[in-house]
Amino acid sequence: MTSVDPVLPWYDDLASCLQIDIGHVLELQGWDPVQVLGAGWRFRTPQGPVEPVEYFHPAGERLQEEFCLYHPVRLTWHEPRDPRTAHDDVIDALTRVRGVIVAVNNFHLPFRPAYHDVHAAHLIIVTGWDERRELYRVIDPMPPAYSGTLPRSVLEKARRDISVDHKSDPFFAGSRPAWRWLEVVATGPQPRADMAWVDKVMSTNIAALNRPDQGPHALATYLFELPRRIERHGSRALREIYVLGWPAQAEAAFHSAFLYRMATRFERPDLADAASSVGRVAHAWTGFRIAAAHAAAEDEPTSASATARVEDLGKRLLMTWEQCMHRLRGSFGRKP
Amino acid sequence: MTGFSATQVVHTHAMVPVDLSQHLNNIALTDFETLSNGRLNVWSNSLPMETLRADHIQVGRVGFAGSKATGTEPDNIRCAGQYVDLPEMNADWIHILATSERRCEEEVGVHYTSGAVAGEWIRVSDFLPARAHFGEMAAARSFAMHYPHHRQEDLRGQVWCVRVPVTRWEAVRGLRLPDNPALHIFAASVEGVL
Repeated sequence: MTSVDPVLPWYDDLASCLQIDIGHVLELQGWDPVQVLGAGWRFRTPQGPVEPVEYFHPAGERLQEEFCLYHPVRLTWHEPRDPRTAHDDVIDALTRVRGVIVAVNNFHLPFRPAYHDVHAAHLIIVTGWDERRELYRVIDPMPPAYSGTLPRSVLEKARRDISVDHKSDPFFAGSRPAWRWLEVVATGPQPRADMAWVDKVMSTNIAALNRPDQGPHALATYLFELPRRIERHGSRALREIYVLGWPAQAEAAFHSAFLYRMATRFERPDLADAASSVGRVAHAWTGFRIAAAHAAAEDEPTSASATARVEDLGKRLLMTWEQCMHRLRGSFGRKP
Repeated sequence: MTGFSATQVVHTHAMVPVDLSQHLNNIALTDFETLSNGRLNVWSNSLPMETLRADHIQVGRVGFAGSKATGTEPDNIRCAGQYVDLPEMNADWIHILATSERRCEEEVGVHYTSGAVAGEWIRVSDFLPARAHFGEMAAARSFAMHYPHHRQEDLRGQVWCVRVPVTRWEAVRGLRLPDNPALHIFAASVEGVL
């Protein structure tokens, strides 16, 4: 099956393969993906290096501490050292779960637009294995979306030959995540989102985002240090904005979608107002990320005018976020 | 209960195209020979030229001037805070043919002949496969996506028809575009009710 439109009804164009694949694996087990992806809302700037992969997340190995919150989910990255273990691990995991997420290089996947054109680190879902024909069953929900089989030799090449150092994709160049895979395990039933649960989730999110190392405060610190970072690291500092902003933008978008859904379910216009305000934060990431991406690609990436625009759009994102927090605190922060 | 009874009133709508030619600064539409000129996003994707008609573009009741894309000359405005002159007229809506490198929600400034300026929102969805997040009308969908080195047949791109409200009861004069390189504007028309 190949489609020209997003195949998943809950697909969000601001998400990367990381959020979409995790959501879809849990959906295969009967979960509501928007609830699991969007109930929580956090943001932290990366403590370590920003790995240039599409599925980067600042939480790194501790992904489950910052994503899929309020849900019994275990998210574990594995890095087997050789192809045999990489294959066996996936087959073994498939006896316990409906789908396993593997890191691939799009350059080797015939159903990706980047096939034999651009090297890019991506994630797809393996859902089955045909021992006799040596074929994996795979799903890639990211447009143009693919669901079908893939010969073992092709997937192994895409999992092995993953070093992204081709000049055609500077954003995701330099990473070497060979054989990596992500295990997504539901360790209990999905919580039922009743009104009390939603209000508790909201006040917990607000409290977390108000911490000095979280949310808008973390962004403010990052922006304050940005000119020095650009001075020191040049265009790499600009490219990092694009990469680290991806999960931040996606998670704000899913949180907004979650709130809209709850607003409809409980006929709560206040939740719709909150959803709109959170959505505005998601959309304000666009200018900051895209300006940084374009500046990085310019001949003089760190020219004063290019970086001034990036910093400006960063500040606008911060103001939008502070305005949103003000609104959320007014509506939910005072509730127990 | 008191109130008005429903009556039918018929108005005439005038749709006046805006001349954007002096602001065009980006190539978003290419043909097979000019694939590598595309700059719709940082990866140099572009939409096939036939996505937008050359003579006249009609989206629902909204009409726009046709596209003059050549694949070698700019065919759209990539937004960087430009000020665009509007035809001076009493108007209700400013219709805009746009697309975005990831969806965005930005402020535009509607300038009036009295000198007043009113900030309004412009909301535009993604040019890559996406739904109309802001309830826009899809103005055009391509049958393929152009990459610098190839044409991808199973990926469609899209251009949206959005509108900005004119809230003051006086003639408009200009439009301040947002400063956001993600946002691309292909055409604009001012609609007034006579």
